[in-house]
Amino acid sequence: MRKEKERIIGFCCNECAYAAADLAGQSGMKYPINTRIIRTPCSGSTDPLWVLEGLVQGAKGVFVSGCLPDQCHYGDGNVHAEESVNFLKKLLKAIGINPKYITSYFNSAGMPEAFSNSTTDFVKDVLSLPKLPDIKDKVKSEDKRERFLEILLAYATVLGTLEEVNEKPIPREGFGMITVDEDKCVSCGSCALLCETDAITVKETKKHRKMFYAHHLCTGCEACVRACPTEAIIVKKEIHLKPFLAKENIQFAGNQFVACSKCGVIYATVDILEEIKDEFELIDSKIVSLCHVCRREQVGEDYVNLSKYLISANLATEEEVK
Amino acid sequence: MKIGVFICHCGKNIAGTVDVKKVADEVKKNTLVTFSTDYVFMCSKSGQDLIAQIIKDTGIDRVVVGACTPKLHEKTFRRVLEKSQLNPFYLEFVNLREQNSWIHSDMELATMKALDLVNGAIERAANLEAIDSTEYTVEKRALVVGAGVAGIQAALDLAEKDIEVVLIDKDATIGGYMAKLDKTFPTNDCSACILTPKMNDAFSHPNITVMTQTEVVSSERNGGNFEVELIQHPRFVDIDKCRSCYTCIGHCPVKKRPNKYFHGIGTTKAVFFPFTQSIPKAVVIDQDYCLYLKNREKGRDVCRRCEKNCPSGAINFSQEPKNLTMDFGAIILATGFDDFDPSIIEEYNYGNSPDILTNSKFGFMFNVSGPTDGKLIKPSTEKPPKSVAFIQCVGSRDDIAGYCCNVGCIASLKHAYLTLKQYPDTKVYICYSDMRTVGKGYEEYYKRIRQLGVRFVRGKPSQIDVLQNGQLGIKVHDSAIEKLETLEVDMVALQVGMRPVKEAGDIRLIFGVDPSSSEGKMVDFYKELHPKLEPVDTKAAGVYIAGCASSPKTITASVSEAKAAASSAASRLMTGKITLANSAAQVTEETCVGCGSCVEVCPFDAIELKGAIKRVAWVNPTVCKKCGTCASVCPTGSIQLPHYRTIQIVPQIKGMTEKDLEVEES
Repeated sequence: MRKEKERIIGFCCNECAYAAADLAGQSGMKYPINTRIIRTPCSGSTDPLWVLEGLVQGAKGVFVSGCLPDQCHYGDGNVHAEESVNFLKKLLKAIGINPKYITSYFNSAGMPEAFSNSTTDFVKDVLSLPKLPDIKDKVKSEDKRERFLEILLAYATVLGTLEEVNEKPIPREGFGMITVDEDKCVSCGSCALLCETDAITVKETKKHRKMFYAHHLCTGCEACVRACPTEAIIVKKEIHLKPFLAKENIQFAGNQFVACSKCGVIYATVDILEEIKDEFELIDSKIVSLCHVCRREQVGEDYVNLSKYLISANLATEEEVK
Repeated sequence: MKIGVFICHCGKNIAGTVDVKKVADEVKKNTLVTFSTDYVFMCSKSGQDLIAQIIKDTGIDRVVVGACTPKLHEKTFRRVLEKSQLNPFYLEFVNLREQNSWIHSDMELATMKALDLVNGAIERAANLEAIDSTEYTVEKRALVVGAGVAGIQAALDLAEKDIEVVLIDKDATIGGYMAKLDKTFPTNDCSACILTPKMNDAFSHPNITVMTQTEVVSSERNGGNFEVELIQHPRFVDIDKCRSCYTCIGHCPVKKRPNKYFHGIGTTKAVFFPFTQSIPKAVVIDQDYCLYLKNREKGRDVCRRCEKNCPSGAINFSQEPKNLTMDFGAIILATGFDDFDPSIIEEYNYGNSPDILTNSKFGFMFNVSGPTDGKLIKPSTEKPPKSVAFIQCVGSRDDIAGYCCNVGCIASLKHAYLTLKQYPDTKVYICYSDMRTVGKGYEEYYKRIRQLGVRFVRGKPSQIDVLQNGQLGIKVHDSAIEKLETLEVDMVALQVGMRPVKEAGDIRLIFGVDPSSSEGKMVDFYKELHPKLEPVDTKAAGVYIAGCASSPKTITASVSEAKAAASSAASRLMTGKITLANSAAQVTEETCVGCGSCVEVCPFDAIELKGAIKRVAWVNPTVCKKCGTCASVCPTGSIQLPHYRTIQIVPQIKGMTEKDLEVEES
């Protein structure tokens, strides 16, 4: 008979879960020997990456445990912990992995029986599940977001579920999906300038500017929303697994460049001019077709001509014009 | 990087289940490990000296200790590192006892688990960082919550050390449960005679501010202090002006207010003294019963006879609830207990006959300043009872609650004595499970009362019936004589179990104190830091417990604890400063993208985004409570909690899963 050899990793908050686990020991209770507990300050601190990492490194299952609802010692960290685990469960399910490999449960420091019962039940459930494929070698990145993606991608690839991943968006802080109103977007590129993670980028040829968006890099920070002059962008804090895993970098807008009618330098897109045309026409429709350098020259020239005219027509003195 | 590993036997506590030598030997294979050993008691002086010596001799700069729970000795070993000029946060503590050897029995597997845990700790230790600390001042002022005998004693002890104390109680008088008693066991001395002088001392002590009808609303830690918000409910009487002349009570037309102070025995006026010697010595008006206050809400102006007739103008209907916030350097929780409500035990018919009482109510009748002026009467007839039965362990040591109330046996003996003293011909029964009379003079007391002719029935009644003739029928199997008996008595006193007060749960959450457990289930009695060695300290540094707040206790034990709590609190307050690690969440500005996810989830609003164009998260270190929730949502891993960084946790996971787990067939 071979003895039990699977590991189950548990992230237990220092305030309640870890204390309950201690108390279970002090009260002579039992829970399965597979359990390996890692102490966290608050269950809310449990990074989803840590949970995934547990599975990747070969733990059969991972649980997150914290204080009772409404009794978190840090406000609502336990709520965040539960959200994190539910988020991961949805992700696992979307890539075809039984979400039962991970769980969360909550009890107070004075509830060792509840802790050991929940742990025992979870371990029993997990041990009956098939072993997850070993993807350790496929995960290499040290970057948090990249590693997170690599793990999910590796599982989906090995399990052959990449093609049919569920596309339903999953809400989560730290992820973002933009929607761009193509009628409003003028391809000015301001969003790309302010995007910190290069989720939005531009590609330019001599005649075109193309706008690209990579969902897997987006953090939902809304810098693009603040940058956009035409309020064309909306951001939702959610992850769309398919484009996320595919690292899709898709074009969401693009426009022809316009060359300066005087010097020939490219200075705007057609849509930008369309957008600002009305304002400029109030001043002088002619300058719309000029780049910003030529526009200044033209305005200066116009002013000098106007001054000369005013003086010559005796409408103003030289002093007044100056 | 040189790591030293120290595995504790804890006598046989760990070594009995874990092959500690094997663990210490195996980890030597790890190239990170410079030194590794096992030792019988790592926490002993020689164990601590060993670590210090090894640090000195081998130059190890990270220490892994595998022993009990870090909650017990992490601090001990951090001090060892500190003394050896190593940053105390270069310690990684492995729980091999509470979470391994005490849970499991299979030596081979427990040893493997220990190895996993230690391997994880080694990998994590290799990535630990130094954390420095800052010294904070501690305000020399203590808050004592609950002014029963424990709270009063703690306040007096602190005040005598020249520490300012605010003593609060939710009741209109201080004194707590003890003030309601007539006699105290085992000496039968008068409760009022020994308590009321202390109540007076506390009230008049220049260092003590007594606030009645006051409760805690919230508490925030601020460096070494607690910023506590209190609310004082209106008394509608100016304490300083009241001369306790009883004029108002004479004029008050409301007569049927149940005497809540004595658990509903007897009635009072709407303006009343909680009891004759209550402190502060001023009447109080119950707004739920006062005609004027009840009608004032509806815009009607009625009665006010007390106000009109008070010779000193003490009645003040304009009082409003008063909120105030103060800084305290230490908190003592002496919140006491409530009686278990026995009405859920249907077969005992509590509530279906006025003659079935709790032992508390029964005892209050002996109090000369109590609801019956000290006369024991059968409530239904208001005549002396001819027979009385005490039922022990109601809601204690049973399916409802596993724990013992600690005072029930001796309390019933005392009440049996008082009954026989008042009416020597009364037939007295005590139905008990075990008579537990442990304590100085208790066994002698028991013997004395046995000799008075009390009938001891060894058994817990299965049924208490209200009979047609007004008597109460008790069905009980006396296991001492193997006989099923039916006792007919005039009165029954149920010795109900002690429970935490109903506010205990809220108060413990406000101050971050853990609940206790009984038979694996949570009870809101406050948990001590260590059941033997730190009985009055709690997990929340600076919060101490005294009396029945932590478990059922006698007056003797409560007073001892109060003195201990005062002593513990005084150590903190007199030092005047504490050192706290600077371990607030940290931001790597270069990689922070200013997405604001951390700001969104921070439960304490400790994070804000700074910068006009490139926004970067900024953590206010004095507001951050170090929960780490921010780090869990950060998309770039730019905000991290020191000691719980991903670069520390992930290696730990790798370390504890690295080794092949295959075991030889047994």
